[in-house]
Amino acid sequence: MDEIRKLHNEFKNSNARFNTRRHFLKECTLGLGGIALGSFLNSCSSKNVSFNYNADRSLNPLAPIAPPFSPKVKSVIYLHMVGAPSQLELFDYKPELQKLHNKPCPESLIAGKQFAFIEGTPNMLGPQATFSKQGESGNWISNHIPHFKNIIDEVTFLKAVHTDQFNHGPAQLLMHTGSPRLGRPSIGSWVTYGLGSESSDLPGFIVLTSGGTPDGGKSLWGNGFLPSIYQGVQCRSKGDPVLYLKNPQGISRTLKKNIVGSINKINYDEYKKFKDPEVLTRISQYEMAFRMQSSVPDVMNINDEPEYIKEMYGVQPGKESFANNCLLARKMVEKGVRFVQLYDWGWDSHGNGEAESLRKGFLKKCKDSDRPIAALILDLKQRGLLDETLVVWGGEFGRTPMWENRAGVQNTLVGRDHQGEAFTMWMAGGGLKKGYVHGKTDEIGYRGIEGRVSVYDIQATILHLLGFDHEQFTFDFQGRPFRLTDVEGQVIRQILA
Amino acid sequence: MLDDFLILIGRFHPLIIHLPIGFIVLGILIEFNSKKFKWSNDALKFIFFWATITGILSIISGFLQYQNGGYIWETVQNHFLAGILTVVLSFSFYLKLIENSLFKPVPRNFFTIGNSVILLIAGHLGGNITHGEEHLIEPLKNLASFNKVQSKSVKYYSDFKEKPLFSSVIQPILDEKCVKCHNSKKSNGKLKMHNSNELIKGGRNGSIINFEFPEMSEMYIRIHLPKEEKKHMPPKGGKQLTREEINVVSNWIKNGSSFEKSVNEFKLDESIISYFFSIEKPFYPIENVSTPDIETIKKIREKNILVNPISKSSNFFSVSSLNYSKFSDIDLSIMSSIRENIVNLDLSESKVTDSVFFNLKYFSNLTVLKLNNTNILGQNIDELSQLKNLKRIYLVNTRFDVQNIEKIIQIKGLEKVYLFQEDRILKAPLKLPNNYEEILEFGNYSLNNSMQNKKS
Repeated sequence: MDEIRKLHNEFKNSNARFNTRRHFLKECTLGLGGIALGSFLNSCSSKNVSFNYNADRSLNPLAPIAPPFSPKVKSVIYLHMVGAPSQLELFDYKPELQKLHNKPCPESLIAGKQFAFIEGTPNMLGPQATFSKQGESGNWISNHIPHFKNIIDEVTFLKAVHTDQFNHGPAQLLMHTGSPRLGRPSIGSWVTYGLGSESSDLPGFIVLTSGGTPDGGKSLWGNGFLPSIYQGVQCRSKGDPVLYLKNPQGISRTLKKNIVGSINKINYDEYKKFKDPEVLTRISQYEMAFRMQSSVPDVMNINDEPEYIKEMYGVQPGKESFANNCLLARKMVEKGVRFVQLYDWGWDSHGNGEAESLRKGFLKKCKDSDRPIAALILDLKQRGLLDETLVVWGGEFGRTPMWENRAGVQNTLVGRDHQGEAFTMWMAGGGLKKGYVHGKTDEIGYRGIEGRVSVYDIQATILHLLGFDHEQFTFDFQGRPFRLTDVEGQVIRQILA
Repeated sequence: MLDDFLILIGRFHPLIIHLPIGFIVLGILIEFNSKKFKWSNDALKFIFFWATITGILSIISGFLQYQNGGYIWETVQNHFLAGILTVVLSFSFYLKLIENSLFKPVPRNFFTIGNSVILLIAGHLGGNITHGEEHLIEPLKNLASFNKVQSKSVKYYSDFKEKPLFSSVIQPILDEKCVKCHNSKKSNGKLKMHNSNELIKGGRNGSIINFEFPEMSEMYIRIHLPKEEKKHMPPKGGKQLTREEINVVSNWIKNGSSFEKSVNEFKLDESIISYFFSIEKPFYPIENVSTPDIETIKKIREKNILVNPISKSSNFFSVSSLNYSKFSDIDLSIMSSIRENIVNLDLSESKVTDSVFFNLKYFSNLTVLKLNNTNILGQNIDELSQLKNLKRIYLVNTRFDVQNIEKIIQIKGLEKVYLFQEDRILKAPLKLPNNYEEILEFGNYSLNNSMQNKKS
């Protein structure tokens, strides 16, 4: 720590040395005028003269800083079910749809509509699950996820989410970056940029995947135009958590330490010559990377957890699994990681193959994820972490009440096509109503009729709970300020406690 | 016709007064210039002659402005007198310059220095009338202390629904947006809006509230006119009503402009209510602490202890030893000077012991206390019973002795205590006050038989 302090002082001194008489003469002709102009234009609100108590970010761009408003939660665990799980088999109970089962879809429902695969006139498909009311809230839940009843009174359902994207990649990008096209920072990057990382030894934004890589690719946790330090760090639950994290064979930790030390010394000499503070930032980055070599494997190790906790999650040590990732997510939040993003691939139940059938592959996905999710919520709850963590669950869109008929022929196995008009998501954690349902779909779950919320609304709400006004939280790029929600989004106030 | 002309002249007062000011300042500059000009006396005569003439014009226009602008004599009195004194001084200096015998014994400095002082006073008083007395003082206050603006009074009323809408919402809006120009000192259009009686009385054109046809009320019409419209209120350039404020004022007028009816009786949208009232009780105490000492904060940070305000403009802080696991009881002393500012303290995984409570009891605003993964037994935890704001205590994975639960119960106002222990099953001793069943969180949740492992 002494090292860092010394660096910090050096940094300040050299900065001060840069700001000398020459700087004064150079800057102050225009600079002072600029300041005067600034106050004319009311750019600096004189009403809020306040001392900045936030940490200095000049040496550590991840230093934690306070959000503009008092936050309800300090971290987020986002569970994304890649491929879009069917809301009609999980949460959105539609008995009316059962009556229409295997009857042709009325023309009025599909006229002028675009689908990913449906062509011509498909048949309707009744719910492939039985539903029951559970918990004190008495909310509907499917028999495919039996453990969910243990947490049903903890979550807030959003039953009428809509998106305008009906292909996986763009829809995922929209969900996580606010734009269906590449190039925007992901929500985790925004949050890390805005809040920094509490832990000095761990990244602020960690990504864990299971089942496969999401269609949207690594851009889903990319930093876009934000500084690259804020991008998501993907950790693998099998093998080395982060690639190239281990020292190569024959290189001991001491040797590594000496190497980093020597590099830093050379950099420091460079710095002494040119007095460029950027060099100091680089030195501190090397030191952080060195610390992470031991802290990341430590947090990624689930073997030391008590047996019954491992059993509760249903973990499979040494393998890549969603259950492992859920347990890791809890450990990371405990250690001060800001944003943990879980992607679980394989929910695309079209019905054109066993793995993609609602009666086979879908059921396996339900079974594999039900226990870990319930365990995660309960574990967070008993440790008091649920009060200050937000858990979000959802896919990138929903699924149609029609039986998919790819190329006009009904699929051999039971499945549904993509649907952006209405699908279910849920949230749990600090600042939210518990056991609450917001939004309602029509009798067949085809369209939201009450409490419709957009993807932007969800993003706005997440930022709100973390202490941001999504309309004020911007980053200047290419001549204009950018927001996560672009020009849309409204905080879903109805679900706030 | 003539009236309007006089009003016009009155309105020119703020412009005309700058003529004598210019002359007098120029004169004083010439008089005090270290290098004496040959022509200075001639110039001064000319300057102070015109200072007098324009000064008289200023007085006349000022008087007209007072008569027609809706000002009260008490407010303008001193400004008026100071203005006259300025002109008198200028004229007597002029007389001295043309060697009038009357002023021969009086030294020149009397006029010049006197004139500058009186001019400043007159100008300042005039400024107070047009811009309000807080005009200069407000920014000065902010400059003098780094004191951030005391966070906007938190609009939290548990019983807000029973309170009259007028006094809790409408009048505060008027106070903020209208009263600047419509008050007992300055009443544009003869209208005063600082209390309900004056609203009914109205201005030059009668009452601004029409109880018979509410939507014909002047007040209703004026706030709804397009902003470009001359009659729109507040006038262009003034602080406008927000959408929600227009909504609630309209609602109030349309429903009979009652001064007594409660918020409840007005069937306002939930979004409108939540705009004006914070329905939920604030989690942290209401801020009335001084700004913390920045040096202390730096010192804490040097130890690698996290310390950050809970929000950008707050005086309340979160402190965490997350990155400093060597934290022990004595380390708490470095934050003693900001202990009232700390609302959220996380000492998890640190080396603190039970004696930490003797020190913690002075953290009067402490709301969340985390002691997870420490060796705390909870022996002295009743020391915290004087902390009125303490809501959550975290004691997960500690050596907490279940006998000490009775001590925890002595802390009033607790909302949650987390007592989950990974390595053992903690259960409450038999007798617990009812509400503590919910407050004490022992955890040990299970899915099917996953707990069997722990029990065996």
